[in-house]
Amino acid sequence: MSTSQPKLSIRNLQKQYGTNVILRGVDIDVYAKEVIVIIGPSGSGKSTLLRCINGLETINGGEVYIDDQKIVHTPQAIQKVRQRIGMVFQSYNLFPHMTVMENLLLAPVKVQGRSKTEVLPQARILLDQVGLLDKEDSYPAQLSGGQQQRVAIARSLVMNPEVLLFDEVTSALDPERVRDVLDVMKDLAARGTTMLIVTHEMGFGRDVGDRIIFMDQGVIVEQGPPEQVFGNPQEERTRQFLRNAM
Amino acid sequence: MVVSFDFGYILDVLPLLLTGLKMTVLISVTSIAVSLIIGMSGAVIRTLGIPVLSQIVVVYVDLIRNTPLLVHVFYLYFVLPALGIKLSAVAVGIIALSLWGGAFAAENFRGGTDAVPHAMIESGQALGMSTWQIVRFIMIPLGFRISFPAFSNTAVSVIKNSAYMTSIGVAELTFMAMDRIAYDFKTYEMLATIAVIYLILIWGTSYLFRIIERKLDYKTKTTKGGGINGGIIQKLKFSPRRAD
Ligand SMILES: Nc1ncnc2c1ncn2[C@@H]1O[C@H](COP(=O)(O)OP(=O)(O)OP(=O)(O)O)[C@@H](O)[C@H]1O
Ligand SMILES: [Mg+2]
Repeated sequence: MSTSQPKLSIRNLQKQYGTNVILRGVDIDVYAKEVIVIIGPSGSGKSTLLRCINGLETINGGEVYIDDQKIVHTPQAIQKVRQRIGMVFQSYNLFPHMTVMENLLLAPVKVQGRSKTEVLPQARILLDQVGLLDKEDSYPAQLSGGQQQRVAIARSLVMNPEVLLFDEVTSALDPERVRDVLDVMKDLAARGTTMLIVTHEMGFGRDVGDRIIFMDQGVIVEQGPPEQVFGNPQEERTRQFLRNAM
Repeated sequence: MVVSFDFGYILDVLPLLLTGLKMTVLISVTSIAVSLIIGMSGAVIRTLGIPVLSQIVVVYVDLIRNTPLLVHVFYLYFVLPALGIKLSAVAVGIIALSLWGGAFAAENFRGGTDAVPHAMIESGQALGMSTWQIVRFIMIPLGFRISFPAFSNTAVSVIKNSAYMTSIGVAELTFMAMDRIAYDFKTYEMLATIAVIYLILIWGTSYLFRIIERKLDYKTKTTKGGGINGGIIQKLKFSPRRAD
């Protein structure tokens, strides 16, 4: 079966800072068009996991494969991988000295070597998709947090990534701005974007996730379809976490 | 003793002082421009941690900042010829001021590139940018903007320090005045006049730098090209910065 090969494969991933072990052997297969939602208490290693996938952190053991290709951490190799795996952060991090459009064009033009005339229409389509077409000439300081986060999502998308990583992208936002960003992500899910989403928004996770992964203390405690993990969790730790989180 | 102040005399010597001012502006502007290049290069070298070059920058900055400018000037003017390198007084003036300003500018810009939030750099990394691309498109432009106010202080100090070039006979403003005092003994008039000229020059420069600062400030921009021209300029309060 040609569909049986995962897009992204995380094998026995281990990470420690000094003697502090953060990830104790994590295994995840992510298939094309799958949306995986990762939940877990603060400090359980969710961000570290995402950062190990795109090489923002070095790993101490295990492997990550994209399309069966092992990800190696030499600068050139990892830069290529990052063009294929986009990441959106909690703190959006738009480049403040560039307009929205300049933020979107920078990497495709400078990193991927695409022509501006080719990228521009695509960038406009994406800005439209996140509801910010009228903001292309604005600077980030002129946008609300939610708007900046939607631009950051568009900035990742314009690279045509094969997988997108989201690390609590709504946690820094005012409650009334959260919805706009979640809607953009739901829209992406509906379009078949392959995503790994770390979130504290349980309702959203349940709606959008094909599979829910509950992590605690650097291991996957439980995973399964949303109905199972949220509706009928098998592990006591999961139940406890959900009781506190809901 | 009542000091008599001869205003007519000031008018007589003004043309002479203006030729001095021209020289002051020439050596200052050239040195500020070179300082900017030295400073930016130094900051980038240190930010990237390029081996050998980084150490050279550190030694250079320390050496210049911890020794008097006058010693640099005398060294270039009196010691270099003994080594077979003969430079004109104006050239020595420009080189000494540029090296001085460059060392301070390197520290200014280093402060700026250091202040670029790490999250910004990670954002670039996550987009697949190389270290050089991150330096070129994020750290330099952002660091430059962050440290520009500090650099304008350095630039103003370069102008003030140009007066030291009197010591090797560069025909700049202070030299012209001192030279003339030796003939006319109108010390009060002369010193008061050049003080006013320096004040105007430095206020003007500060004002110019303030305008550039505003132009560079992305927090006050609304849209590309627009924004700056309307409201901001009116809001721009003129307060000359104190430079030391
Ligand atoms: N650079 C670092 N150096 C040392 N320890 C770190 C570093 N980054 C993270 N840690 C530690 O690793 C552990 C896991 O952190 P991580 O950020 O992955 O948790 P998380 O699940 O994302 O938590 P949260 O929900 O609060 O974001 C924490 O105990 C944290 O203190
Ligand atoms: Mg986290």
